[in-house]
Amino acid sequence: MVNTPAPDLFHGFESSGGVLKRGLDQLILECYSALYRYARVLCRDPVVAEDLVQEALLRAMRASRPPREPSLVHVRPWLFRILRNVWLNECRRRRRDVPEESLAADPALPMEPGPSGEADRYRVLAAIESLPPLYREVILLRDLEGLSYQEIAHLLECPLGTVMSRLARARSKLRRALLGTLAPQGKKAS
Amino acid sequence: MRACQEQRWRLHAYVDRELAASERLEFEQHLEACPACREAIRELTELVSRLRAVHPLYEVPPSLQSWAREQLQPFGRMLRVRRWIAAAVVCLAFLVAMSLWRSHAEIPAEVVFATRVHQRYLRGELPLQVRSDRPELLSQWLYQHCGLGLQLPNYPSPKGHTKAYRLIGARKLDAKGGPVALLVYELDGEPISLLMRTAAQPSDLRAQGASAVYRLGGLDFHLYRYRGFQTICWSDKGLSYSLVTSLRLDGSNPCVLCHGGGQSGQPQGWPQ
Ligand SMILES: [Zn+2]
Repeated sequence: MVNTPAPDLFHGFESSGGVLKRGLDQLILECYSALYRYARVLCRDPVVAEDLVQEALLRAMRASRPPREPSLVHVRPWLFRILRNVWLNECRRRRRDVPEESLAADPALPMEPGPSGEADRYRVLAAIESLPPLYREVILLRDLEGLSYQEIAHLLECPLGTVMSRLARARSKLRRALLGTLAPQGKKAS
Repeated sequence: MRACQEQRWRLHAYVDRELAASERLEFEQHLEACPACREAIRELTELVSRLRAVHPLYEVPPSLQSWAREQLQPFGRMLRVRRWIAAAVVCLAFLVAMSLWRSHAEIPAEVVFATRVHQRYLRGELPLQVRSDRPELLSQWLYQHCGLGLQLPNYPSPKGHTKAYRLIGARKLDAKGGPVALLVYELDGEPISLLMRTAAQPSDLRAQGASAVYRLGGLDFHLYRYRGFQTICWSDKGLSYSLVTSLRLDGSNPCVLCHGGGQSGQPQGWPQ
């Protein structure tokens, strides 16, 4: 046997196997937190993130063709896509921070002070937010929200290979950013 | 550096469980022999675990959450109303289809056949093989081509009137039960199809499903309404007749229409 840690890192991502059929409104509400987190990672600004999420929600409610399948598997990528379009429009409008243009790292944010037990959380948060937009986006989608490569490729409208190479680069950049900051001892994925 | 280290994406795909079963197996075999990849996997797993441990990274502000709930409440109500309407429409369509099917189920096969022939004639799919307004000429053609021995009547028109209906022509059709003759008339420019066949098989004409039944001169005339057309069927002396038109045939005696108000209403001399 290979003596490597089992790469079983799947934590409880929102499952779609609900027996009860939920309406689109309930499904949107269930994705709402994820939508906000995505917005935060895209723009790194709590106020702008709120605006983005509100606009995305209004667009989703006006959509003429919402997902036919009333399940999280379909509704969440659909909402992410709407949010991403809102964000890209916003970027074009403001002509700044366009993800495609700037792959250079933004300066790292100052650490937010937090409760003592939350120290690593802020280190990781700061490291993620210091990444270029496309990198922090792919980290959020894969490592935090648990989208599959295929789902990410679909959302970003790019080939699977691009997702894989971007994710590899983003993780190695993130690892370097986190180097020297120690992970809490004995912490395991739940 | 080994070639595997240049294919870093494979490490990530392995950790993310995105490798196909065969690739995964192959990679695991490689891992046994490659300490560099094992170390890379260990580092990567550690990083990914650390990231996942901080999930969720941000909390939704309560104000935004309550705003969303407020927005989604009327939206959800509208969706439910819409779904209810859609379900009602489907039910209604089903009921309509059922009632149509039930009423058509009672229409005899020969009425359905005659109506289809008439529709095809109207679309020009059944060109006439003989054109004439002379009954004696068409009678002869029917005898020669369809083996139908009958003499088409030549009703006198009422005094001072031109005859209301006019013979146009005929053609032979091949149907399942044998040849069928199609005779076409016109009344006020409106075509009337008359189908004639030898009544070798028993007719399935019955009062049920018919809009009306007229009894004249010992014959039963069944009137059907089907697909916007009206069909009158009757049998006489070994022949079956079906007459189809879009003209409204009502009143106590539908034959008055064609026979120009003939005195007795009896189809005189027809068939021979
Ligand atoms: Zn290797």
